[in-house]
Amino acid sequence: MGKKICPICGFQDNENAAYCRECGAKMTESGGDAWSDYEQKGQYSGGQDNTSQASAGSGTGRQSTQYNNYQDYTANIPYRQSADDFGSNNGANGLQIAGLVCGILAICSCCCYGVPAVILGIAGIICAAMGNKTSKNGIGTGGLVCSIIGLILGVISTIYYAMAIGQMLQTGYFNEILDMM
Amino acid sequence: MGKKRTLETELFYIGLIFLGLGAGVWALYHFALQNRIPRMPCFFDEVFGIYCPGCGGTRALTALLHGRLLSAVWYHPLIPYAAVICGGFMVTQGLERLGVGHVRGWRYHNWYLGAGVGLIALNFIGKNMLRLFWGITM
Repeated sequence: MGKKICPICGFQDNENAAYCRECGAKMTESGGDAWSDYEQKGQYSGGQDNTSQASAGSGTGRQSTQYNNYQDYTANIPYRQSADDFGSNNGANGLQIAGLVCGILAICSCCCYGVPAVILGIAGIICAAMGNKTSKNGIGTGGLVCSIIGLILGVISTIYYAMAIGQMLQTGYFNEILDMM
Repeated sequence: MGKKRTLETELFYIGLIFLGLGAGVWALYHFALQNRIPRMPCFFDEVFGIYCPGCGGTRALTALLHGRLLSAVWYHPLIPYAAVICGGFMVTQGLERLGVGHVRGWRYHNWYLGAGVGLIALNFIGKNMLRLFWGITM
């Protein structure tokens, strides 16, 4: 008669068992494939040894694992934190968000004489760098990248406008415009 | 819940700092530089022949401050959107901190940023398509 093995606690049961009687997890087919898969995934440190307990007459038994029951296993599953969690290693914090906002605004304002883009780019880099010290995530990286791009565009734009104003000053056109304003 | 509140607090204080800096820059430009710097065409337009992602932002802000909401949306939809989101966030957070009534401050959500970027992209692509294919300018 075939057997099924619980992938969580290793409890063996007959082939008709859909769920483990020990921990309630869904049973897998016996034959060792599922068990070896879980071993290879590193979920269990040991193999099959010492503490197997066979129930009298039932033909079932339990193979020893790192965890003795489903509750111990689930208690040790790493908590998967959402991107919105603040203060965690992966959650965005206020400085990272400010850095991203500054970077986006720096790119958008690069053609406005270039100076706002330079200011916003520098502010964005500072905010993103400070924010990235406490957590690493896409928002922090994106903020840093956008701020750097905005700063570069701002510097190029500033040089362009400085050269244009310089030419206008040489030709006297600058003073004419100021008189008209 | 406590950790979420810390994020809103951080954003609120950063918002106050940027608000102060922005007011200072505006005052400097309005009272000292406005009549000393001529208005020049957009660098992006001159070099590439297309509108930049921020084109129309200044006009949108001016229109919004003069109460012309539809004009502000046409010039650049990010400006009225940012005014609503940022203004609403700062005002409600400020009222919550002052304990005014039972006002609950708005919470931060990542989609605020996504929607803003989407509006910038929409404005950039849409305006340039209107200009290139139908000759409609701002």
